[in-house]
Amino acid sequence: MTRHRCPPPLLLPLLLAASLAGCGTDLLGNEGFEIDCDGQPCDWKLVEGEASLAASWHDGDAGADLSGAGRAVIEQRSAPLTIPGRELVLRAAVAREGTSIRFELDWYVEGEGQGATYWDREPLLVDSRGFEVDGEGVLAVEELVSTPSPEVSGLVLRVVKDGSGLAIVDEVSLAEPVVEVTP
Amino acid sequence: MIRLLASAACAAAILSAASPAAGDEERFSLTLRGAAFDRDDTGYADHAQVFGLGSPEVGGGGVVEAGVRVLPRLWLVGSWSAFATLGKRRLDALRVANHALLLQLAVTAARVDIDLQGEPTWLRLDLMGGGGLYWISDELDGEEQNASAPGARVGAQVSYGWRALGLSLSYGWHMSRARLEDRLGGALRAGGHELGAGLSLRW
Repeated sequence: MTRHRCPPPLLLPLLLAASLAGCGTDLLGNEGFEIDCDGQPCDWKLVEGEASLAASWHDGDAGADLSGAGRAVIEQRSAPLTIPGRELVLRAAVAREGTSIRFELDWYVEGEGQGATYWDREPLLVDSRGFEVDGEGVLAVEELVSTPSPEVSGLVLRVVKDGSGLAIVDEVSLAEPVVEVTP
Repeated sequence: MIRLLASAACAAAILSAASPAAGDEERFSLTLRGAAFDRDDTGYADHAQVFGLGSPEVGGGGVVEAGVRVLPRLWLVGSWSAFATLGKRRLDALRVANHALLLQLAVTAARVDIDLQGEPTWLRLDLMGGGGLYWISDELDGEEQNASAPGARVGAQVSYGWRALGLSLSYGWHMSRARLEDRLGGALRAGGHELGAGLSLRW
């Protein structure tokens, strides 16, 4: 079994700096859908189709249940953000049967428009990237994703479900990959 | 303080009353043991793990058994056991617990009295079987499930002791249909395998 650890510190100051910077800090908010904003999970939005954002594998565990017929899309917008590196790892808990689930990541740089929020200031889309979830059943998805530029400061993450059947997504995080240490 | 002294005196009286020759004539037993319980899982524990709550397949807990000898080498034993698992994730925690209240028959299949430099010690093997009621429950963020059903246990216990006091190792196979279900079709049962160690008193 491969063990995942933070990069080993060479010196004490480096260790301190690393601990201040965090190890694998999540770029997304409300990864488990459990933080409630007026009856809906904060940060997440249903943008297409039908979905319940109330329960995942257990009635007491909030998550995105996109099961049912047709296409359903949920998204989260994160900005401004500073990416820790060009390579990031997206993790999610997924239950899938008879459906396809795709994670799409739209990367933006700051716009020059006017407005109160990052998204009001017309950010520029740099690139769209993504991947399809392989395998069926209950899966711990872990996928390396690359960013188009170190200058990106905005992200729209979409979870897209097509087809009919089981489709549950929860525990979605995007963070710096930890270094794999093989003894 | 007086109660403590009285308890100590009582324990001493029990220990001194028992002798190797009276081994088969012991009439009562009391066993306390800590144990691990590997619950029968068909997906529930795996799903909890994938969703970040750790696996609730194995729980820790204890067993209390009280027995009375009804015939030579044949004991009637009542037991209560409880096991729990806590899986934490950020602000949430998945709590799974199972209990069993059982009545069992135990047969002392083998017993050897050993004179250890003048000290009377003994080694025994008891085989047990019986049934009773099983409960299992879970709780996550205020959502609870409970289930109960009858079930059965078969097991064995090896004990080594001095006078009335013994150390025991125990294995039990529990069979029960009481089960928790998740939204993905997984189930976790109150049955499973129990492995424990503890202290016993026989007098």
